[in-house]
Amino acid sequence: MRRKIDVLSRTLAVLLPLSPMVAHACATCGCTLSTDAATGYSAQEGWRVNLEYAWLDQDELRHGNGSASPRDIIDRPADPSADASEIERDTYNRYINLAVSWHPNADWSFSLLAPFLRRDHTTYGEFEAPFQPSYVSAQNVSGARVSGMGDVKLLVGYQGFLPTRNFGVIAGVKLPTGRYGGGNEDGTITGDPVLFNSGPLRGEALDASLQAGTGSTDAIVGAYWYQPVSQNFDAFANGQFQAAVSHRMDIPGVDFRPGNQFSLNVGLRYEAHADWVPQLQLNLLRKSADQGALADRADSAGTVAYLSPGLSVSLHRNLQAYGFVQVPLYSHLEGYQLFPRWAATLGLSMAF
Amino acid sequence: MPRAFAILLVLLVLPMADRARAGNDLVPGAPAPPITLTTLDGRQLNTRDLHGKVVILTFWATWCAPCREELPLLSRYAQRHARNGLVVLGFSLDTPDKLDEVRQVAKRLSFPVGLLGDPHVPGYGRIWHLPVNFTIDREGNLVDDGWKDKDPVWTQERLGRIVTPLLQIPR
Repeated sequence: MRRKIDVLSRTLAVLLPLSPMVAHACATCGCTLSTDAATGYSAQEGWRVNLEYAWLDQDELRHGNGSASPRDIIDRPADPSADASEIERDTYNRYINLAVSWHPNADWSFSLLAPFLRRDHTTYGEFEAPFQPSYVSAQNVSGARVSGMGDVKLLVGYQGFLPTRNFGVIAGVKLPTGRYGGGNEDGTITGDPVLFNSGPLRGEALDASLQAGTGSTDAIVGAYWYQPVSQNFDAFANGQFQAAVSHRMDIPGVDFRPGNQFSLNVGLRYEAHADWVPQLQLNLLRKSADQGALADRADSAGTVAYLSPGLSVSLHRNLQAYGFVQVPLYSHLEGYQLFPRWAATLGLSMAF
Repeated sequence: MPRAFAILLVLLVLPMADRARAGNDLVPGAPAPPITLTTLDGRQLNTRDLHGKVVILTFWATWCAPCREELPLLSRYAQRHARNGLVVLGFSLDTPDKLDEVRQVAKRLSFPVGLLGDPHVPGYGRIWHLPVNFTIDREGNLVDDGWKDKDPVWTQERLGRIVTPLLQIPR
């Protein structure tokens, strides 16, 4: 009988054991990179700080598995019962994600994840069929900028099931710390939403799903695993489910509940070198439709997959830098949604 | 375009997978890469200084059950054959926070032990599974490449087959 135990690389033993993707208030977009896998899982005691800059430009209209045009949105609306359909133009997102985690011992960890975001959104507004080329003229463009802290996550992780500590579970909450709100067609405002600051929609509330926060408290559960699979390669997988358990925008007519989301990340890390680790992630995200009167129910669900090549580099004994590019491999989007052609992430991680 | 980019990336990664099959510089019959054990009491033992000895490099950890089974056997064998020029160097992959446990195990062993630290060992590749052992003859050549052993745990039979013949060769 073959008896051997795979060793968990100490080059993995650096930084964030349980920093999952930071939740962003957007449709089925590209916020999917697994930072924990990027920097390596850890059983080291002490503190870790991770600072990350990510950006994605949702500049492509998509429907189902393919591209869509403004004409499609108007002449083949996602919700045929609606009087008009919105032609969105672009959503440019930039995030600074701060994660602080504390490991009192090799088994337990406690983390706080705080996203700070700047989001520039433009739209042509809502129009009735049939489509007119004038709908997408510059004079119809309205813009809004969301800037500030998003929704904070608090997470607890446990990885004491195996002596090798290469399997762990996490649980936690996402809190409604980000600015949230919205307005319905009657002009009734709830929360404290960011308003359009230019164009014909100036003064109207930006969509609830595009605000910095969702106004909801979400429960989070997940698990992760990693394992050397050859002398030079480690494999990893992690999954996470997030669902709103309460939402502050709960008044009928101006209510909003973000859709549930499930993410699955799998990948390989090339561990031949202690100081630099090329890796490849496959990031899958399934999001169900947002709910409530302020939700764009027909245009907020979908399944996407990204291929994410990246590199992490040890700059110093306890300091790592990493960079990733995310390229969409597959998308199946309900309704019409703005989708990124690519996304990128740069980060620094420090353990002490 | 994104799909073409993804395919290109996969094609770039495939050669890495090919290289990963080797992952080390070990060739049986060729000189074994030198390695230094820093023992728990601070001594430096380098295989370069052990010419004329038969050397077993054993990699283990306190949490590795098969390792804990083979260590007493290896310890008795090392003690019995020390006069024939056998040296065993024990590299523990435990982290420094497990040092007390490592010391407890080391106390019962007849050979020197130290913490490996970085599992990337030049020439031997990343120590990615345990136990793994390498045997070096009196000329400093690698005799047994532990990465190629289907059952890497030391047994009396295996010691007799691989190590004992080397000890019978006069110094």
